[in-house]
Amino acid sequence: MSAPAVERTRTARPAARQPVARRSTGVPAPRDAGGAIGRAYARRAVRERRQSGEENAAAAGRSQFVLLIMVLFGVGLVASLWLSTTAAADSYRLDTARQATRDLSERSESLRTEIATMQSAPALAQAAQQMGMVQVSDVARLVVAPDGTVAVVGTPKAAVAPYVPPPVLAPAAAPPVPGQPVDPAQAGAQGQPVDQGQQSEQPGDVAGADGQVAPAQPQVPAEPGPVTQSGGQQLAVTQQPAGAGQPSPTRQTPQQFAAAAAQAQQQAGQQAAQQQAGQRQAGQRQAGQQQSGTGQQTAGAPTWPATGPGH
Amino acid sequence: MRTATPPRSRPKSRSSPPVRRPRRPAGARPDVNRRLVAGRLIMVTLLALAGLKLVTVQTVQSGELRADGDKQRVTRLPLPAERGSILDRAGTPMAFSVQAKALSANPFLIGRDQGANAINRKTQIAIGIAQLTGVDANQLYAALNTDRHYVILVPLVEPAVARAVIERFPEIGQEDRESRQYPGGPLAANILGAASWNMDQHKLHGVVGLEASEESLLAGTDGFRVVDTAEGGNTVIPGSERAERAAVPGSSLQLTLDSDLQYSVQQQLAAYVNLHGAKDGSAVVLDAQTGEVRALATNATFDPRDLAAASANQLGNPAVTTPFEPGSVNKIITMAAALDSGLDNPMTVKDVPDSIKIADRTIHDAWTHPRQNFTLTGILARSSNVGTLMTAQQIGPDRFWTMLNKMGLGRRTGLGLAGESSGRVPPRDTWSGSTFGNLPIGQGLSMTVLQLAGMYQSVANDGLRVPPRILQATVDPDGTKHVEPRPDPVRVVTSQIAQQLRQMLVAVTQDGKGLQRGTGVDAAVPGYQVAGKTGTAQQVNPACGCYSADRYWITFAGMFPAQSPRYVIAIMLDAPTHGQNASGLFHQIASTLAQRDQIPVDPAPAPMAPLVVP
Repeated sequence: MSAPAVERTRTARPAARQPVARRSTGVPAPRDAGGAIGRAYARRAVRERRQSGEENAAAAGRSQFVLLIMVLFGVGLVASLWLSTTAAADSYRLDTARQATRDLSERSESLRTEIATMQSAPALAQAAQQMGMVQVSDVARLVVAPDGTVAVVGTPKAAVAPYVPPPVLAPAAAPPVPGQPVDPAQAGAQGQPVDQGQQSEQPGDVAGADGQVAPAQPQVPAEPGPVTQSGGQQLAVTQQPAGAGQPSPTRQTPQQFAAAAAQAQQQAGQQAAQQQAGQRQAGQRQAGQQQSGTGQQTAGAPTWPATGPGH
Repeated sequence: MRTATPPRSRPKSRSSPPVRRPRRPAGARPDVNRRLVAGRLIMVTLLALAGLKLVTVQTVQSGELRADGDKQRVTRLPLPAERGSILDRAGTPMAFSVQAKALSANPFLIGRDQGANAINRKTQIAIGIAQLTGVDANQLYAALNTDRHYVILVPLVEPAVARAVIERFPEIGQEDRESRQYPGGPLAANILGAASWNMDQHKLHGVVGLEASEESLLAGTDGFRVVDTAEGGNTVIPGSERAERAAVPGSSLQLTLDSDLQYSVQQQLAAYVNLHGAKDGSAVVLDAQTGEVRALATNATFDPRDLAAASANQLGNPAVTTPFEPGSVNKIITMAAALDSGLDNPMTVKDVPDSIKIADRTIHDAWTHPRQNFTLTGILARSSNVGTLMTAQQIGPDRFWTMLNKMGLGRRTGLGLAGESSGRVPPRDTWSGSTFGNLPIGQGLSMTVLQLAGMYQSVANDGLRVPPRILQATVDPDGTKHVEPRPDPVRVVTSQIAQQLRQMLVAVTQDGKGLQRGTGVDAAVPGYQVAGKTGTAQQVNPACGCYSADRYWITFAGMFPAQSPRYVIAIMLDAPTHGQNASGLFHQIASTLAQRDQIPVDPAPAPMAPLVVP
């Protein structure tokens, strides 16, 4: 509202620069171009020109700045988009990696447990026993004198199992963490058939190969297995409950037994054949004995108590 | 860009003020003012009220409101500390912890949600979990088929299995657990003890044995994390951690035990006890130089993985807690004192009758014999009570008492296991006349199998007794090992006398003819010299308060090999029904040690000492 008044007050100024102003601005001159109005227009033109010079420079700077801001803004937008996309993708990768780490650490922990269990003294002893090994009590030693003569110290004799592993120290079949998948060695102790064909031969094999490492468990007054009375000594070995833990065709659940019975008979035949062929020094008597023992056991199969160790 | 106003607009603006002015009626202004005043008043009042409330909320009620808010959001999550392991001397873990989960369920909620289908669903869940975990499905079904709000279905299950179960059955919940593993099962169980999950403290807690007595060391310190969680759930709001203190895992404990040796000693002891119908038995193997316990076995043991099946007497460690009367193994004190006094040497000959009268009592030898000329070695090797008492009378009670104290009897060894007994030795001032007729032959005082082993360790270690220890080191969570301080050794006898004592003890196992035969021949190991002493002590019959005629403590203590002892072995059998001799077990353990350590054989035949001379 006050602008026109200001214009009016300024009309009193000299009009010396009028023509220059009019020419340069190119604003159509009003009718009284030479009068006061004309001068006013001229002054305004001058003013505008003065301003526009500055404004042109300022405008150029400002537009560059705005452009810069826009570019920055655009780059920022793209960058943030890209970052958030990458972050989202990475979060999936992170999640996968975390899961993998967790799974692996759990696995390492479970393997650690398994190793600790398997390398513990009772487990090693049990494994050795399953391989038909017997702990030796007294050994004879050969002492080589400086002059090369060899003296025998002690009396060399066959190793016999000096005792039955007492039940208190039988490596428990319970898995370390209840609910852990049962491992084969423990499954064997629990009476599930593990590779029965081969393992059940072992006691016989060892006895046949050389009399020294005879599986002497049968001679030990152990609590007899349910069918010990029916079998020969060789198979009585496999009848040792819990402590011995040797998998054999006879350590099965009653349900499995019927099916396995026929198989066992076949195996007994094969076994005898193998022994006769492979181990000439093993007496025929022994193989026969084993065969007859197996036969008798198989015959006794249906009387296997339902609460046998197979459960 | 031009900001200048176009010139044509100017005339309009010039004429506008006169137009606008008449539109305002003269009477309107006071009304507006009044409204403005009223409005301002209302605004100010409201502002004042709001300000007042603000001040109240920010100052007066702030604490209460903050607490209320925190209660809804802030949760303190515990960070459980992992329990330390127990290792044997080789670093083989004997007890350690692994992460596990417990599966829980809300049978009531399942019943309500499923309605008529509940039975079906519960059967499905029971069978599914049984398949995944190997737990009995019937048991699971029974647990699910209740109206309770919370049941634990499977107490310990591997985390991966727990996840699989929850994926399949969203109704099932999981809780963090720490599962204690005892890979050896009953191996050293009486020493290690057991730890079980404590529901109140939400952590493993030692129940018995080292797990209980070293609880503070093993348990570590739980940490915590204070975070904001979504209301009604445990979802942590990211970035809302307010405070966090990391858990400090428990330290590990390294024992001096050798788990292989421990296993075979445990096996051999249990078999021997069974074979001889003994009520109980203990055995200990010490390192001869350091006094470190390599094996410590008792007959009654348990499986820490199945704590519920263990009976109270299996959980204890009678080798440490229950003293017994030692019998003839105690004669070593008289012999040591006799040699130390300089009055006797191993070949001193004594004319020993069949019986001797001390105060009001007459003491016989275990077998009847005429007066015979025993050497001091013979008195020990043939375990003559009369000869020992003659020697004791000669040296007097004071020398005997001094030696008995030096041997560490009547005091705890400080082994490092809880509940250790000090045994009982009657104080010197309470001795009656007959007391000195009992003590030299190992009656009327009691000791643990560790104290017994300690006596013989001093003989094995050239007269320097190092009290036995079972804790070797503690291992910090960062792996720094702090070796337990070694106990101060006690000089009992000179190394020369210890050497003489060992030679006398070798004679106990000498396989001579007739009178030249020692009492512990069964302990001998071919190819080595074995020094040891048999012992038989009558047990007290509680019915009459007198010594029983048919119940004995059978003991044996010795060292192996005799020339440069590596191990000291002490054995006690409680009331065996047949075979009153523990030397067979010593033989088994020594033989195992010889093979295991590949101890060099001594091809020279063991010297034969004259026990009875004409």
